[in-house]
Amino acid sequence: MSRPVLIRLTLVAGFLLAWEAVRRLNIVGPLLLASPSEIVSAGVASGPKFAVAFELTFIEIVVAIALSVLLGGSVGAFAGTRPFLGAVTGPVLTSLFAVPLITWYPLFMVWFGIGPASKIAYGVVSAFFPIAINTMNGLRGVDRKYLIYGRAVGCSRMQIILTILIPLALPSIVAGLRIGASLAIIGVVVAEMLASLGGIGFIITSSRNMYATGDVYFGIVLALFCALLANLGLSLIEQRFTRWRDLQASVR
Amino acid sequence: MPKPIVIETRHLRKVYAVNRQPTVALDDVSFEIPEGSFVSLVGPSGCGKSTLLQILAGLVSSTTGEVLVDGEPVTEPMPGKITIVFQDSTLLPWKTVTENILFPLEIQGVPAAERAARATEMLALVGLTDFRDRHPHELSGGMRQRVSIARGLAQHPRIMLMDEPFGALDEQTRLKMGHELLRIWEATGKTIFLITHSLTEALFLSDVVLVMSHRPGRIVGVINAGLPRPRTYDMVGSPEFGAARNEMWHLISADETGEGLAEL
Repeated sequence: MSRPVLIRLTLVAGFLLAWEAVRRLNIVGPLLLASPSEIVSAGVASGPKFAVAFELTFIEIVVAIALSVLLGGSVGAFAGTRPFLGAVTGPVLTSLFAVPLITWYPLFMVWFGIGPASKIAYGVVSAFFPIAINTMNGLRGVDRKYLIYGRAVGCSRMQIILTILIPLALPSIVAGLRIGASLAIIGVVVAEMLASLGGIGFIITSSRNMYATGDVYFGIVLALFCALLANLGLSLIEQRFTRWRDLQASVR
Repeated sequence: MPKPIVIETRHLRKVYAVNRQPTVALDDVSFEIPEGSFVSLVGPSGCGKSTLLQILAGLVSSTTGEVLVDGEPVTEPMPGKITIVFQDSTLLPWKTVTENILFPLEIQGVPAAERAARATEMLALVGLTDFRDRHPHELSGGMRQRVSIARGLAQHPRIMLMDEPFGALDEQTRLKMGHELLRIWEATGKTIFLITHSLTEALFLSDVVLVMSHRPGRIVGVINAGLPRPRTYDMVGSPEFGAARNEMWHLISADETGEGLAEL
């Protein structure tokens, strides 16, 4: 094992031990903090409940990300490849991104109900803007010489977009995807916490109301786990499609 | 018997609107390029050279006048017939050298076996067979331009247009690439039209050099130095070379605005 990894693991283990000690010595009361061992036993005790919640939240997140990629990607692609459309919609997209979306959530519940649909919708809206904006900017940023090259070798407009522009814009698109995915995860979990009938966010809120601190913390751990999974998936995509960019940068 | 004419321009004129003011970029540009010849166009930067090249390639339309390739008017890009080698290589960075050569052939519907054969042949021609699976960023600037040339020639064009192809290279690489280009030209017998602002490069490479004036771009002279082939570096110092270079210099400096000289 390399030195940085060893030091990192030692630090994490030390942190967990200190955390456990703080609870065992009752420096902080059980309502405020659950020790790592309490969190694990809460997870084991309410395993099935958490499994159901995790499944629901995970599906909501995946659907939300997929829909936002579809919607944000296509709006961004239109805005990025048609200068006039981009000039019309670009500023609108950028300024809407700055609006705190959570203020809309009560309306989302009226529109989509208290079930998963409103969570997915809120997740999609959260992720839509960064994905659309980054896709648009990425496509706009492609050097014009590649367009001329594409036309000269006989590419149709669609071929230029699909085989030249989008691959060149991928690093920017994937960066937007990263921001979008994390916002979608936050969006779904927060929406569940505000009002829902299931999911990780629901468990966190309801367990807190019942003073089940261990369950609250285990819910937080599960939310973290969702983020980790999404991050892992994105890293794989990033490696697969944008490696050339890093290689190129390392040469210069 | 005279060689057939591959590309011909008739009274090309291009007017742009710059801040709603019509600006003449090209005026009455007429010339013809016989098959298999190497013709260059020199002129100061901003004289409309690149505009002319894009008109020849059918990427931009002229205001009046026409371009004929094999007697056929050019109104849109003619993939496979006219290829362009750009100043900055437009190699696709995520594709390997071979994939970059194959890409236009795939677009143009060349059968797979034929594509592979052409790529292999062209890689050998430009001497990059060992680098076929590398990515563009792993190559030097000169090598990238050699790949661009291979990619252009693999399309079996009637004419290859080159827009300052060695402009971004250092002096030594530039000289070597010139030699390399002549070798490739002689091996393939392709018709080449090259745009450059280097008088020496134009004279060294070409059969005929067209001299263009500063805006509006007009052909102010046609230089045929009649230097023997194969060309060697020694010729650059010869009296004929010097005389031809001087003549070009005078043509450009006789430009009434004088702006061309400053930018050369």
